[in-house]
Amino acid sequence: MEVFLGIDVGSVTTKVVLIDHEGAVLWSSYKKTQGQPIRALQSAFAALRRDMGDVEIKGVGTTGSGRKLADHIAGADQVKNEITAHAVSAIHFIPNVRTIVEIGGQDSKLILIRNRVVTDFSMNTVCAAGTGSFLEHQAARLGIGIGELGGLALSASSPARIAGRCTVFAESDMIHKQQMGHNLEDIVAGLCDALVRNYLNNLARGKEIIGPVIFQGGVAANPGIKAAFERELGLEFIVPERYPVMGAIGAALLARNTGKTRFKGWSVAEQELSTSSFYCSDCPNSCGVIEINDSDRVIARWGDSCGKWGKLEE
Amino acid sequence: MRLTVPHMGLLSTAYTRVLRQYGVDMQPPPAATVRTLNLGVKHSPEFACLPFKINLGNMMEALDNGADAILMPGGYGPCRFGYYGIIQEQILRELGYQFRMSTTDNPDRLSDMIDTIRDISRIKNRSDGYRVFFLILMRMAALDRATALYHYYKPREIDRGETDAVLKEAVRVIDRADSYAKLFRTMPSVKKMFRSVPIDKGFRPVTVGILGEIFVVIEPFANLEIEKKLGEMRVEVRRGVWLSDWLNDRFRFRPFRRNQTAYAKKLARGYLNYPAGGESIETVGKTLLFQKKGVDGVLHIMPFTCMPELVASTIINRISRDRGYPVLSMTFDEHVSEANIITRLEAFSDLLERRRNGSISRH
Repeated sequence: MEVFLGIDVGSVTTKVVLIDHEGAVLWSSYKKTQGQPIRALQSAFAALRRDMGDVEIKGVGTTGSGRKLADHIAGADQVKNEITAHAVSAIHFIPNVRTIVEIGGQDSKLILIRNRVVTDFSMNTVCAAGTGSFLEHQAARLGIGIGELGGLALSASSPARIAGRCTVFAESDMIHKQQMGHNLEDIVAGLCDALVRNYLNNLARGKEIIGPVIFQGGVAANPGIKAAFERELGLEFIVPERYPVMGAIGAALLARNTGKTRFKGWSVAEQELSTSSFYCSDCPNSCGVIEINDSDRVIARWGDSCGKWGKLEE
Repeated sequence: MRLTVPHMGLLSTAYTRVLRQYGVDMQPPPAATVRTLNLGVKHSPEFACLPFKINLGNMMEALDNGADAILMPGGYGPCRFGYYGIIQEQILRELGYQFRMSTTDNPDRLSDMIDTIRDISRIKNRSDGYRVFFLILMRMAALDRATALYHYYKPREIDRGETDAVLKEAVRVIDRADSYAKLFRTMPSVKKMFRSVPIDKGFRPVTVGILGEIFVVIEPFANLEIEKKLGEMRVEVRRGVWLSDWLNDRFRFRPFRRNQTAYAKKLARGYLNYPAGGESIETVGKTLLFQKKGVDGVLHIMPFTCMPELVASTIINRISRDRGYPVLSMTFDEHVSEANIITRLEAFSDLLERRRNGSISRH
């Protein structure tokens, strides 16, 4: 059987999927990156091999903010930005989709699709309010698990009105509302409303959101946010079964039409890979140069704006 | 007197050698680096725009290198820019720098520019002043021509980086052409240099028109080398803002060429009937012009807090909706995240390609 590997190295989580030629997901993993993308990737590879045996990979696609790193480690045939990858997988599962709302660990996206083609998109650029990291932080502060947040929000009777322009102000406003005596459910529901308003103000201004809407990315796990979106827009938000790994699926789908794969093989899971970095002092730009080392051999290097360090690898 | 002028794209290459010949002791600022930006940011008002901060950093580094006079365009400017020279002078004086500052007061009058040249150089004769000014302008046009050739060859190059090397060499060759005669002899060889770059002849790249605030469009340091990045993504850049055009349109040096500014204003009618400062009306008009010419989409770039371009951005988004024409606006300042810019550029080029071909190619 022909199988394809999709890798999405995000800011907070690392996603790996294995699909067949029709795009059916055979295996998937969703793990915290914990600041160590290489290790996260290696452990996902080891788990995949344990579960699936030595499958023969016909193509590899990478996406996410760590797409380049993943490419250097695994050997990718397609290195694609998150917007394209998310759009490709959404269209694959729901061909008539017209809007994608994607909220991940540290960034959020809005993608508009008409006739199966991306026509417009926006990404958060200045503010991380409404992303997974912020929700997680607030859940921890309220002493509840991230998984309970949505359920609590749904049981609220009158959501508190919380300022959502900026994460710092949202947090202080939440503290204020707690001190005024609002109950936990109303505060959590108010937080969901505030984050949805923030998303719509930052990303959706002047954009036409029409259904079917797909809601994907890690935050789609939160029914409170989903309900707040639906209330605000009066549209149904569809959460696909594989919502957290849609980007990785998109990358794998894109890798289907490759000839001979550049995949480096399963041995990368056992390699002694490490990264190191230094600041080049040849000019005042002081670029931070990143190196990936296999034992003591440099296998990839980037980060320099003039290109003189990157060239050495070839 | 050692004179410095803040950088703006390749402009300093156009005038430095020529003015030196006429006895001006030129001290161009070192090429902008992160250090330049940090210096500028540290001493600028926070909500001044990125061009202000880079200019100020240029001035400080040039003064540190021995310059003692600054020439800054200004006067009743197209936007806040008109006051920049005055504010920068005050900031620099408060930092303890000693220098002579001149700002051009009336940027629309050619005679004022000539007077400025006579003021700073040994040229006393007015007709010599004109001759020098025209030579600088022709050199700027030659540099712009080389840049346009770069835009064409870069996405088609087979060996990555070769076109960049050719552009660098072309700029060096044009810089050495310090008379009209030499300049006219040089241009065919510049074209030949680009033609020698091995390219993928059958490849039809997606085209992107770049519009927006002139400094951010023209200065690669300000826009994180957006033209090179697009070229590496195999996208052909069609730049809508050129320094030599700007001068041509103002002073009509090429009377038989259509005045681009006037034409853009005419096209903009209905969407924007009056200039809203800066390049706002050109941005609106040229968005429509690019669509007319079949350019696949428009990338609109501006500094954060830029009022004229913010006005333009709202209008071109309307144009985009009305006509189904892809437009992406991006703002630049010292906080911009390069990863975010790259992701958006890639997604935009995928969008354009998919619209055109119905599929995404492999890069």
